[in-house]
Amino acid sequence: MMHRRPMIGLALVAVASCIAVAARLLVVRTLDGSLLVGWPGPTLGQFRVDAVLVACSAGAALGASGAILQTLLRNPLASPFVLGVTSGAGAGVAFASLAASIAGMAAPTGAALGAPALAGALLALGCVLLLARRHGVLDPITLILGGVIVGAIASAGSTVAEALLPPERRGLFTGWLFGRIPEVPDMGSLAACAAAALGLTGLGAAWGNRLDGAALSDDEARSIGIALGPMRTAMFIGCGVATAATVALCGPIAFVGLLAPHCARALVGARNRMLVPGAAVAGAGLLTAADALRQWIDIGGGRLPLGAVTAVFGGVAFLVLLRRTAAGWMA
Amino acid sequence: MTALRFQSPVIARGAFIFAPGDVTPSAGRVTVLIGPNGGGKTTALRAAAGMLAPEQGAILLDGAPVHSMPAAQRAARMALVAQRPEVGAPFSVRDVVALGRVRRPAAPERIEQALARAGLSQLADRPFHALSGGQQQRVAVARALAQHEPGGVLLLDEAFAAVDPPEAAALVREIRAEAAAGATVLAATHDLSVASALADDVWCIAGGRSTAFGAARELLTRAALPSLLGVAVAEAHGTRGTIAVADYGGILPEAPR
Repeated sequence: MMHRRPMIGLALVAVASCIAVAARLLVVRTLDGSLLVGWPGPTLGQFRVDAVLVACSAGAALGASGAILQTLLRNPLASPFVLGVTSGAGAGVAFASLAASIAGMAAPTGAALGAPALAGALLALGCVLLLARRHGVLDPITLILGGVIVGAIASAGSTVAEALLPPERRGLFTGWLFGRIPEVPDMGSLAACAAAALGLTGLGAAWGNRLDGAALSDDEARSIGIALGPMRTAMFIGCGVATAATVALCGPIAFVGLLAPHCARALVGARNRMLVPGAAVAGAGLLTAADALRQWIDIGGGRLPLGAVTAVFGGVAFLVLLRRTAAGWMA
Repeated sequence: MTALRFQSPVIARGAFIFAPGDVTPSAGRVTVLIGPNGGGKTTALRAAAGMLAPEQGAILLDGAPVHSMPAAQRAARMALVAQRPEVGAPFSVRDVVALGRVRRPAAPERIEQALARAGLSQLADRPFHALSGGQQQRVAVARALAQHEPGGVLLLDEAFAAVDPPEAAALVREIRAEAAAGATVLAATHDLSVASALADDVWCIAGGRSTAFGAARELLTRAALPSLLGVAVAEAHGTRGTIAVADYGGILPEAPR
């Protein structure tokens, strides 16, 4: 019984994510606004397959990162976006593009975005963790506020960098700033993101019991045998790499990393051995579903930006979580 | 049996300096740490648990400095109940108690046994966060009991402070049973009733220094306490004998163990 429930939960998460994948692969909106179900053949179908691969890789990386960050920071509101890591990675890419433009080099694309994204992600995470540290302990409120503010500053930095770019370099960048699922992805970035997602999920599951232990206070976690410092460092870097890989591939995507762990936790429970894989699968499903919704909804101005879809749904969910998070963990 | 020794450690925490001198809590006995608030009880326990590095001297667990011992190796010999148990994830009571064995998997019966000893069998499937403060402290004690091996070290920091008297009495019996089986128990409390029920030995710390170490029967008395803690102790006579009442809470039986 105790062992079966998380397995059943994980299977349910997987089924829901498969439905999202099938919907994205088989349902599109035609030009006259009606929904068309069917497979367009291998040539056109390849765009859909690639989009699904991108959404699943990025969603899984964000979901696993969110689950791990929530446990390590003992905070149900933690996620790569809320902690400013996503926006930090975005700013890293923005300033790298600006630097390339000033230096007269070609705009960095594809896997070349990985390094500046990672630098921005780790810089933002480092700033937030330093800000929230009071007498050696992370203050949960300062952590979230610090993350939101660092994220806002990083986003503003991205906007400034965009404004300073010459107009002919701006177009691609503007779409990227809102997050998008490319139908013709850079294969290097896709492979890097998929590898980061798989690696982080595997690490989180393998170290699941130790992550559980890290949910205790620092002294208690150490007293039950957790080497807290090395584990935190490894996990923070892992989450930074995974987030940076998604940003290099899709741009900054909000709230998937926050929601996926909560969806997974409701079905597979809170133990990290199953939660981290569950959150990865849920993240893959959520981002694919958001991309599918984006294809279907037309409010007059063409397709919605993906970032707008995740921010609207995710932002509302964040507020609901905030209300339920009175003291400590959610009731 | 595991030996814990304070070998004149010096630990500076801002302006506060913890320098208790040479103290060896005995294996097979419960040593109760008493002393005024801010006097160094928690520092002593955190240092014993290897959380603080002494600048001079050492705190030794079986002859090796406890601070630099690998966490898993230390956890096999020593369990800690912190002053305020924290669980930053929505775990059940059973999940939390099972964390005591996170680095050394044990049979599920071991976890159930620890739950039963802390009177938590009925609450095992409840979310930890749905429990009262006193119940959460009992969960932390149960986790330490699950982790603890006979002959190891048990460190308890005000572990019963919010626990109701009947449950506290039951936990005191469990802790004393561990000591009887060979454990070295070091427990801080500001409650003299708990101290007298628990203690074989008493270690008094004030201003970061040891002010007394000795048998409870000699130190937890109305003759010794006023000079140790600066408290007044009054006597109350009843039909069943005499008790001593300390003025900051705590009733001492006439003849503590």
